[in-house]
Amino acid sequence: MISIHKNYYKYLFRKLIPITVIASIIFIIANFIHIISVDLSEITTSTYIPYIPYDRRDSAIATITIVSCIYALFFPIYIFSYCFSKKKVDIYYSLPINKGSLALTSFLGGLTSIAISFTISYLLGFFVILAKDHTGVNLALYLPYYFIALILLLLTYMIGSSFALLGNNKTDVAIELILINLLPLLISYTLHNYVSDISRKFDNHISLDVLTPFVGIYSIIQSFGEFISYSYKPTFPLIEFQDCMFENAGNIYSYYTPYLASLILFIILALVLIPAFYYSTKKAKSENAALIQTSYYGVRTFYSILFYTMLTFVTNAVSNKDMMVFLYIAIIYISFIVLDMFRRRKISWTKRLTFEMIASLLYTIFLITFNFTYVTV
Amino acid sequence: MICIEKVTKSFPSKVVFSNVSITIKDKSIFGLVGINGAGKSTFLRCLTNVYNFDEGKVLIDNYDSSEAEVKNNIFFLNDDPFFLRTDTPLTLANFYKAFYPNFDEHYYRNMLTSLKIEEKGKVVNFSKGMRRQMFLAIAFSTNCKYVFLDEAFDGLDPLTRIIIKKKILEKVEENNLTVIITSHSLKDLEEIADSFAILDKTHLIDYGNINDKLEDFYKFQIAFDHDFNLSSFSDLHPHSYKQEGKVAQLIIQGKYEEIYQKLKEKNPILLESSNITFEEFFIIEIERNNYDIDSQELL
Repeated sequence: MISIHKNYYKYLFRKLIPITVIASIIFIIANFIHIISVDLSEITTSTYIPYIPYDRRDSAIATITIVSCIYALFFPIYIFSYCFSKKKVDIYYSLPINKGSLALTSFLGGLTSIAISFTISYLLGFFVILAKDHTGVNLALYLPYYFIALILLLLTYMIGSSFALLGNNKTDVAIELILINLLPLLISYTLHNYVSDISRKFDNHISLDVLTPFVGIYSIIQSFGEFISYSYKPTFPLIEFQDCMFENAGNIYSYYTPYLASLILFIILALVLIPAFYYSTKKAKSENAALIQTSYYGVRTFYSILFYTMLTFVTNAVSNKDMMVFLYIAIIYISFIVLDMFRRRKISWTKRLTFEMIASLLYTIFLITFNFTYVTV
Repeated sequence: MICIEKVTKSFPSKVVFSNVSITIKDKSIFGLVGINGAGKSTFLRCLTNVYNFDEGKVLIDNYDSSEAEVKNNIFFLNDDPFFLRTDTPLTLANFYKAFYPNFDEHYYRNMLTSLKIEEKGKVVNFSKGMRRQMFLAIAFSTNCKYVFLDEAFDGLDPLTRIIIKKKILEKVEENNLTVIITSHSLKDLEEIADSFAILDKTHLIDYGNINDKLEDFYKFQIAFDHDFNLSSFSDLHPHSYKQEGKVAQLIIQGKYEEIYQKLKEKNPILLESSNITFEEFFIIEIERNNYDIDSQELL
């Protein structure tokens, strides 16, 4: 049975105090850098705008949220570091606590640390807003925004934790977390040309980049930031939302649709990862700790997706007008081999690289032919 | 009591051990031995649920070993335990206190003092022997009934080995502990362990009481005033035979009186007997299991 181990939670809480303090300081510094840069730009441009757009005024809060979310995505690599070392596995898994409870207690310990760091910096950020000119914002809405931001942090932390628990080593997990943010954007931009006719119909906002967790987070933060600053006309965003969802459901050009899509997709991604989190705590083999990931789940597949996306992107961008396309493909291929060898931490030719070489060659020929047909048509 | 029933463990590339069954009595010191890569450490990891067995089961005091209540009574110390660069003996104790409610801090501090280990010193600056002693102090302070020590004596100087052996024996005597030790230092094991198991080529090739097993074998030194060789003793089926000039050393299994009488009948000019060591017994058992020591030496 998975339960919280109270003594370990208390121990973890005390152990994480220095990290919590350091994280709070980093969030506060990030916030102050942003505020100072906004103020300086106003002074240097000598323009005083009575109504400062939300993305400048309220980004004080948004900066904290975004920095905290980045932290929440990668912090699980530290929290679940006991999964990445054989020495740590020996200690942690031999303790009188089952793997599920250990993961859950560690998860909650890390979440508490993030929540405290965020709360401290959010409060300070709020006081800064109070001290500055805060006309045009509804201060009362900073409370619900705080809880919304906490949910975002939880979801991001959940994504990071799932990848950390399913991974074998820190490097692979860090690469996976970077790639889950990078790949949807790359795929989205790469496929844009192929689906340009469709995307024009559906508005450019509707694209695969909403699958990227941080685009999702940023969209949500942006929309709620607007909600706060528009709140002197509190019904405005609600009407927009209502129009979009009910009265004018066909009108997907609505300003808020991409934000909603992001929010929904982001929540789905986090929810899908809850069973993965649960499964990994129960079934993950501790003997795989610190080993290079060999399963097709995770970084190995991500590399291949990245490789073929880049091939598509280059073939699409350069088209078949000249032979330069082959040069770019060669560069991508060499980069892929270097990345793959970096992942395996050794230099050797594998069957997989041979397969990738043949497959990528066939794929490129297909793309060039398709591009030619597509352009001609 | 620990009952290990038909356990099997494999990694993707190889079978580590297969169909192993052992019973370990309470209040005993059990030596688990084998050549490098025989699966001793993996076996201990499986016993403590770090790894899962593929097949079979382990009952500790009649309960499944994976139950948290059972694990409250088990402490596993691997050959190179993890600690943070910032850890001191006191911070490490705080970590273990979180999991072992019966952790005896008073005993721990006393033991650190007796071992001359600084409570607030950085563990990273300690020698290997000091670290081993400190972790042993932690193991004993948890008041666990079962302590599993992986490579307990390896890489330690003779003095530290004596201290560690003394502490283990004291604790077993005082607290009725059951200790499982893996080690390549068979001489040290022989001094403190009462029972043993030998793992080799995925199988348990022998296990039981050390003294009973050693009493079954005799080492004879024999000399003649004429030429002789191994075939001169073929009727005794020696397990080990070494000859230098006109003096030979044989290890023979059987009843002492019978063997002695047969050797005496060959009219030697010298005939002396002694008990074999655990190390010699181990080599015999490994050779019996078709392990070609000579070819390994050539490698």
